[in-house]
Formats: sequence, C-alpha cells, structure tokens
Amino acid sequence: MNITSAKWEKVYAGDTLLTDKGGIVAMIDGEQCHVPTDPMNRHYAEIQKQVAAGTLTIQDAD
Amino acid sequence: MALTKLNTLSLADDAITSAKIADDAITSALIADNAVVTAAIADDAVTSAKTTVTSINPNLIINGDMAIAQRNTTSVGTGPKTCDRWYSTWTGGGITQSQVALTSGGAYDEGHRHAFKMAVTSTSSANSRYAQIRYMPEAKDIRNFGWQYTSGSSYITMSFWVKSSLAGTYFLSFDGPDSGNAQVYSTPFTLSADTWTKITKTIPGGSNIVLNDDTGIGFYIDIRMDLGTDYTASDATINAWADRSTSYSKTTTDFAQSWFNTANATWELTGVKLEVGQSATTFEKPDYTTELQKCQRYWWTIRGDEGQDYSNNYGFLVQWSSARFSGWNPFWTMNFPVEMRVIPTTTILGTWGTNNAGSWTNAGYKTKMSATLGFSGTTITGGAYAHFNSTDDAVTFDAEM
Repeated sequence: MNITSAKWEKVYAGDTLLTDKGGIVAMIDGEQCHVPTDPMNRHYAEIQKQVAAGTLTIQDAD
Repeated sequence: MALTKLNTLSLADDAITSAKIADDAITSALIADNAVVTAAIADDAVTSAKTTVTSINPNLIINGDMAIAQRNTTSVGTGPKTCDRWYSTWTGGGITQSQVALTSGGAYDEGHRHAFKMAVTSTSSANSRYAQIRYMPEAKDIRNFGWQYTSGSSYITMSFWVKSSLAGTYFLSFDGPDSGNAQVYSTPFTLSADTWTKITKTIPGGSNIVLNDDTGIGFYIDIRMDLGTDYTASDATINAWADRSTSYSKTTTDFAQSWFNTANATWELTGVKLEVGQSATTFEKPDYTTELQKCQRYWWTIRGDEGQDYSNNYGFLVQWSSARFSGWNPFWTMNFPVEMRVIPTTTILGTWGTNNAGSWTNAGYKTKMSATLGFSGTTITGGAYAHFNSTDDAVTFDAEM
C-alpha cells in the first residue's frame, strides 16, 4: 500500500463545523481515497502505522 | 431316470428357503442388473448402517472458484485487485495478477471455469523476495464455524486446485496474528510442471491459537510460490504449529527452485475450500448472487461501464439547486447492498461530467451500512450536477482486510 499524502477532512452539519478531523483524504496507490477513522479499516490502520513510524504526516484540513 | 439337470420348473414354490442358502452363496456378481426391485425389499430391510451417505461441509472461503472479479480482470498491482477476496502479495521484480477462464484440465473437469493467475513479468533473485497468494478470513468466522482450534485432535481441511509452470515443492501456511506469539503452520506440497493438481491438506488445532470474536484477521492463509532466504531456514518447523515470536522469517524450509526468478513463470489457483474435518468434501458451486453479496461485504462499486449509455450521461447522477440548500453543501446518502465488514474507504474515480459541483467530500456520516457523499465549496446560486460520463467513472467502497 503506497500512501503519498494524507489530509484531515472537516465535517459540517449545515454550516456548523462538527470536527476538523472527521476523516482523512489520502492518495493511496495513486487514487484519492476518503478514509474513515475506523481502527479496523485497513487504510486508516496503515496511515496510523506510518504516522507512528514517522514516515507520514497528516496535514490539517483546509 | 437319474436327475441330471435342475431347472426352476423342478422346484416347488417355496422349496428353497433362506436357511438352505449358504452364507455368502449369493454374491453381487450373480445378481442380474435391475434384478432387485424396490417391491422385493421388505420394509426396514435396508438400515442406515448398510448405506453410505456423504455430506458436504460448508466452505469458509468466499469466491473460492474465482468467479467474481468486481474490480478488474488484470492488474500489475499488489493486494486485492482482481478476484474478490484474493490478494497477490509480492516484493521485488514484477508480477501481473488476473482472473482467467479455464477451458480444460482437472480443475475444469471438476466444474471450475475461472482461476486466479499470477505471472512473472520481471524476475527477482533477491533474498528478500517473496511471491504469495493470500486469503484472510475474519477471525470470528473461523473461530465460530465448528473447529475446536485449541485441540490437537480437531481438524480443518483445505483443498485447492493449482497449476504451476515450474515443478517443485511449495508451501501452504496459516499465520494467526491474534495469538500473543503469532502461531504459524506451514506444510509443503509438490507439483509437476504445467499440470493441474488437487492439493488437500489437513491441519490440527494448536493449544496456543487465539482467535478473537471480531472482524479482524483470523489467519493469513498464504499459498507460497517463492520465498527468498530471508524468510526460510533448513531447520524451520513444518507440519506443526510454531511461534512467530521474533521474526516473520524462517517459517518454511528453503525452496529448491525459484518461481520468482524464472522468466514468465505462471501460477493458477481455483476451487479453494476450507472446511472442518479431516477430509475434503465436494466443492459445492456457490449461487452467484449469494456469493456476490458475500464479496460486497468487503468491496463494492457503482461503475460507469455498467451504465446503459455513459456517453449520454446515464449510469449515475447527483443534481441539485443551490438555492434550495441556501448555500449549504449538498450531500446524498448511499445505502450499501450488505453490511460491510468495517466503515469503508470511499474512492471517487474518473473525470465525471460536472457543472458548478465543487469538490467531492466524504468525511463523517458513514457507517457499515451507508455513506454520505457530498461536495464542498459549492457557492454558486444556480443549479449544479455531477454524473458519470465515461467508462472509468466509479464510486467504490472498500472494507477489505
């Protein structure tokens, strides 16, 4: 699994910001993927693993 | 006149009773075809002890006949890219994976019409090389399907059809990550070149096996075509459960041949069945719809090339008036065909046809049963839309292991 970038996504209800870490948009194997913060999701687990290893940084949401 | 010949007319009715027939005097060879009709068999004459009934065990493997390939039929990537639920895992060199049609051979004769194929496109002789086909059942599924997995006298049996272009001895391995020290069982099998062979392996339980009652990985089930010497040892434990406590290496003995270092080497696999018990029972062909739904627990898609006429904007459309939403970003909920294993990753593929659509977003508002797709940055005041307009447009949901 080749992850080249990761950025948090904001979650809104109407125009109310609920969280600025509601998910991660990541480039995985050349495709833009929307990854949920579910620890059993293999993409999220791999992102967490690479962040812990210091090889990937999750950018703040726009 | 002496009696020289006895025919049936010479015998009175009921003259020959069963008491006058020696034990074993009437063998099956003396009974004409169809001589014993149902009416001649007394009620209760045939007991269950005199019959053999073969039952068919359930198969824990999904898409074991490789008939379903939702993503693609060929890929140069690693992971689950072609046949649903099946991974091509390798490092070094290059390998193409594909779903292929079968037209002859032992697997075909047993009823299989598809196989998962791996083909070497660039060789590797590195000690760190590996090439495997991997399947991962959920821990709860293998934990709860009847195997007393901590008992050495309880068994599972895995059977499969395989064909390699290179003769040699290969390995089937089970690796259970839920145990404190992961438990590994590796067992060898031998193939002749270019010959479909049915392999059957029976594996006992192991006292140190742990399987959680969850949707995580129960076992890495690996069919190993090649491992470099970083992962093998001449004295590795095989045909028994062993700890993988310090390293992933040394879980099989050395490979005498190198499939991955053989130009254009191929490997095909189908008819995979994993069942409880000490023998392989018939591979019962699954119903397509049921099997597809099982696969969709892990991955499913809406794709442009299945639309009736993508060039005329059919297939998939979201459309809205921003005035109706008072400037709020529009969202739509999509219900999944089945409950997915975990909350899935969503991917929007292709170029689409859009008008004032902003950027796709899929943050939050997702469960195992539904996801909310939407757009951010929609500040226009008129109508807007996004639709499939080419065959590579798709929305995918990925909850694979």
